Amino acid sequence: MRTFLARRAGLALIQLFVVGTIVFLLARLIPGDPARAVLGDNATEDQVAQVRELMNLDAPQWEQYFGFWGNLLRGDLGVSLISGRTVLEDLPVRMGNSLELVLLALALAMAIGIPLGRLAATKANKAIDHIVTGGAILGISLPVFVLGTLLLLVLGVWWPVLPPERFVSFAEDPLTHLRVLLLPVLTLTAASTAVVARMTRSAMLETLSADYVRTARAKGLREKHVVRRHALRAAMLPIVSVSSVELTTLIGSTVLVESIFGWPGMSSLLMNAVTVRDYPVIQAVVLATATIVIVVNLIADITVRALDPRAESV
Amino acid sequence: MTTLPDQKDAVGFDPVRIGAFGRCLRNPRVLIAGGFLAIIGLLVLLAPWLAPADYRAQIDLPLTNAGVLGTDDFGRDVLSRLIVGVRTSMLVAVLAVLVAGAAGVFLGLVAGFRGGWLSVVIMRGIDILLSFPPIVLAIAAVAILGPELRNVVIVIGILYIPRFTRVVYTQVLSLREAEYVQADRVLGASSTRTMFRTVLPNVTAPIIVQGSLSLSFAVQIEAGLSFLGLGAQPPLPSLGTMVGAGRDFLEVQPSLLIFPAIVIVAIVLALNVVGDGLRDVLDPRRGQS
Amino acid sequence: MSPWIQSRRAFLRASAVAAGAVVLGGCGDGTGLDPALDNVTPAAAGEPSRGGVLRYGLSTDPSNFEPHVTSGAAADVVCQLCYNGLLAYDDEGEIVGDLAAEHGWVDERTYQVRLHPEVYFHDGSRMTTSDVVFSFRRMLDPATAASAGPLLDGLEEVRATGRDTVLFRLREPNAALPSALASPSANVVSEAWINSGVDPKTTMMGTGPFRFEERIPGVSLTFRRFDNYFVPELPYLNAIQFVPMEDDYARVTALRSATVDMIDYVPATHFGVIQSNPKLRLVSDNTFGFGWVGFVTSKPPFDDVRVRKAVALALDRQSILDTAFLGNGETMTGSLISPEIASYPRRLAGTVEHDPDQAKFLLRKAGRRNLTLPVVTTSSYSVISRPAEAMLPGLRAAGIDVQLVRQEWLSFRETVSAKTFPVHSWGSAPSYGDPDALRDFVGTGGSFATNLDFSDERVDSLLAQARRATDDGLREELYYELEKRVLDLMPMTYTVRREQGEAHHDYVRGFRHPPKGAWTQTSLRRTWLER
Repeated sequence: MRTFLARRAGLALIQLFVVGTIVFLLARLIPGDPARAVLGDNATEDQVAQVRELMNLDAPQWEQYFGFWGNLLRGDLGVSLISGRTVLEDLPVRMGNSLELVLLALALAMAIGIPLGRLAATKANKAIDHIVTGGAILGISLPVFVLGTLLLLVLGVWWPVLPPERFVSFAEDPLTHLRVLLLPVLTLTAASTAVVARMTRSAMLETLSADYVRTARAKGLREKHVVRRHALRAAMLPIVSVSSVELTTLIGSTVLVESIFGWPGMSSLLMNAVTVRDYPVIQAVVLATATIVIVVNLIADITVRALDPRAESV
Repeated sequence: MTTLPDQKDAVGFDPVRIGAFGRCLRNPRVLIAGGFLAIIGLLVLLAPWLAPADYRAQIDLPLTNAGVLGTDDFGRDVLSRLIVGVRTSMLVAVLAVLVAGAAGVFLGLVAGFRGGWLSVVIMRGIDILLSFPPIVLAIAAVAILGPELRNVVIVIGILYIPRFTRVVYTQVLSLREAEYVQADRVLGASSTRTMFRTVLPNVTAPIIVQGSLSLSFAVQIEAGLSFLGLGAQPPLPSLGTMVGAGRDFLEVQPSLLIFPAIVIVAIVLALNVVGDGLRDVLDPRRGQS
Repeated sequence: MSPWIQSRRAFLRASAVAAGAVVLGGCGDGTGLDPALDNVTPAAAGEPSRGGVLRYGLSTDPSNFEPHVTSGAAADVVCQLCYNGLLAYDDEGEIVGDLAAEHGWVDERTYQVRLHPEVYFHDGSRMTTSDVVFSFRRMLDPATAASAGPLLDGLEEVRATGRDTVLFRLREPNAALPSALASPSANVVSEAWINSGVDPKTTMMGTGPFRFEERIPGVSLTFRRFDNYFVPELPYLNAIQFVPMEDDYARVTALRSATVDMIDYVPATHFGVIQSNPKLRLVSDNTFGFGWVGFVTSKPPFDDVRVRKAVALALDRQSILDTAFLGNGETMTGSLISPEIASYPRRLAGTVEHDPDQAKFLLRKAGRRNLTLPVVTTSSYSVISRPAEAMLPGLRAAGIDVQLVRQEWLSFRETVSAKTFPVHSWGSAPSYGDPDALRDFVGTGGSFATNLDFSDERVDSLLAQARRATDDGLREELYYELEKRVLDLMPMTYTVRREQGEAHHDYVRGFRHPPKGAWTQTSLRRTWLER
């Protein structure tokens, strides 16, 4: 186990290094000059050159690259080329806003998806199973932006129970905050709930037909007991792995959700940074996102390994 | 080498047989979804002849009820644009999945069959690819390459390589030691020949399942990118651009948004139903229901 | 029974705790405004009420607050709450004094400004003539890359004379100097404050009616009333809070649901929705924002003026206006400068009318039948991309097959400046309401002219003559000649002048959208709420 941990953590570090390098290169490969982003339409070429110099964009690429890692090791994520604010001023708040959406969506997905999947599995091929599996397949077939826009149309315009509101932080006004939160979280959670329900159902069907469950049944244990003590427990394993995958998907989906609902999260920070070629911010956000994904995968791997020592990491 | 051993227990997939598709269609849900996809397929092939008007031409004032489904904000025929939009979205998705499938299967075969450092490099590369959320990577890549449909195909294609590589890799690992593969080697077949002639046919089932499911994701990603303005470029419509453009007229002309949205959901739903059906038939472990 | 049950529970519990911590931590520490600030004190009929907070949905989160560099209209709007210039535009778009109590020409090369006495900065210090001189020297310093820099380049010297007077000495007469002094980014800053090492990109400190309180990027930008503002009584509001809302639809919906009291940059596609709502007011101009198709005049096929003219005649401007902006605006068939700004433009109207047959004829004569063209435009702004898309059917009808290449804003700027494509479709606005702003578009070295490789001696000499001319009638004549010459050479062809403006609830009072002058919202300084 210890060597497994060490090897796995080492790999994660290498992954982070490669991701950082790729991001550094990708950001600079996007055509367009951040100097133009801070100057208006009428700026002259001389002014653009002047601002490029102020931004230190003309320094050799390798110098900028090593500077990036050097600063990172010292915990310095850099200063935005555009706003002049340090990345550390903005990133944690934005990341918090995004993770709030993502984690709530994931929690909802598990709170709804697992019981539904379990219900469907125990009532396999009955009406309720068909409803759940049908609903689930519809759920994974609803693209986030379609669902988000339709929710906005139906609940915001036609039947305005949740009219669009401006974002307020939880500290400022908890109730409004939760109300604003509702539509984005609902939009995000639909597909994940469906995935979790499907996974729970199929994992449970598998274990329900497994030998030890049959034995338990043969021993005369009540069905309810069998389902809870044996089947669901065994099904936790794939549920843990699917949750880690879902978390990555959800982080990706926030790009669209934040743009539709004007949620000030990490994705909107990233999209804005890409728009104005704010290299330090692009690097920091992508690196932070990748770190989250890598760490979650690491935790999931370790958990799966701890839950089931037979599991081989691929 | 004469008879194939039953690999059901070892791998969990049947080798593909024509009969499997027949069995799959016995499920009424799959039948309906398959029928719908067949219609969509026809639409894609016959789009230029089916569209009642030129999708680029202004046929009337903006936002009127002219034509079957009205006109859009540029006064163009919505029905014609919807037909062409379906074709754009489907072509991008199919091509992207072909790119992903070809590259992913090849990498998976090589990694699984050759093993050693090559497999470490490939599989870790795949891990790194997976640590970016796909849509974020797609946005960055399209920003660099420029928003052209060709680039969207390449980008979605690359994003879905890991799915194929992983599936093929695990399959190959368990096949590698199978008797008939060993036998092939003993008989002196070159490893390339063994890889493509003997191993590949035996991993087609999971590839087909993965392909049909990836198709549904590819339709969604294309639509998402187009929604953000990074996919199909006007005046060429795709389902995603139509939803994106329709948002501005949510109240004036909700149909601009609703029609393409319904079509996207229907296509993705049908693809998922068919994908599930195929999996149920081809993967006996899932075939319980 | 199984050992891992324990660890699983622990794992789930730990994750729940972690999730909770992140959720709470994620809520930020946005302080929000004291609810008491929202109270409005009613006033006698006809008099402005005091108090209240104006919430304003802004189309762009200002990139930074640098007082001398315009990064866009949104940044200008917020800067002009915190800072004052020497001159400003009033509600009718006429140039009036801002910090200047008196201003005018002493002779044709000297402009004199006498400052209001008793002007204080937000930090309590008193504004002096040396702050003014410092501010203009900062704008003239190339290292600042000040937006007003090119407008001020004929300035020989800025000098304080006496306690409250500042003199501007010009190398040669320049009738456009007052426009430069009134431009939204010619702000007066505190010398001591700038020299104290603050970063004026991240914070603001000026003499304006509102002081900068807090910025939460992507969420809000808050200003509080400055009690020591030099204009008595002003401002009426307790605070203004800007909320960045980049999505057009979200911004309009927020206005309609009264989440915000006011929004900027009303998209043309939503004019109807707002105008039909009795509780909302739309204030706009037809003067500034316009679109054009620009040709790289040094490369084939557009080194041939017949081909440029063919494209100009092939454009169906009425159809572009009707589809791209749903009719909100006016077609441009003559001058670049709007008739609101000068009178000569009326004489040029109708020079370029839709004439597909003539377009085909010109193309045939130029040997460019069945012309196939890639046209580059940007997808980032609908006011630019919509007309580009709308012009396609018209061009196709004239036998010009256009491939639209849409790039994201900064890529587009790069491509246009590198002249990668022979033709581009863009939109912007004259930077100030004087025909002298033409130099950006057609003067040698002008920021837009450079993209076209356009340079013409006669145009340059007319620009220079007009700048030196002090007689208004003569200036009109010179600009008439100039624009006529440009229409003959056709380095770019103008498409549509779009209607652009803000919308607000009817309880927002005192806000005006100047019909000319510049895109300023200095009337926010005089806005009040009537609730």
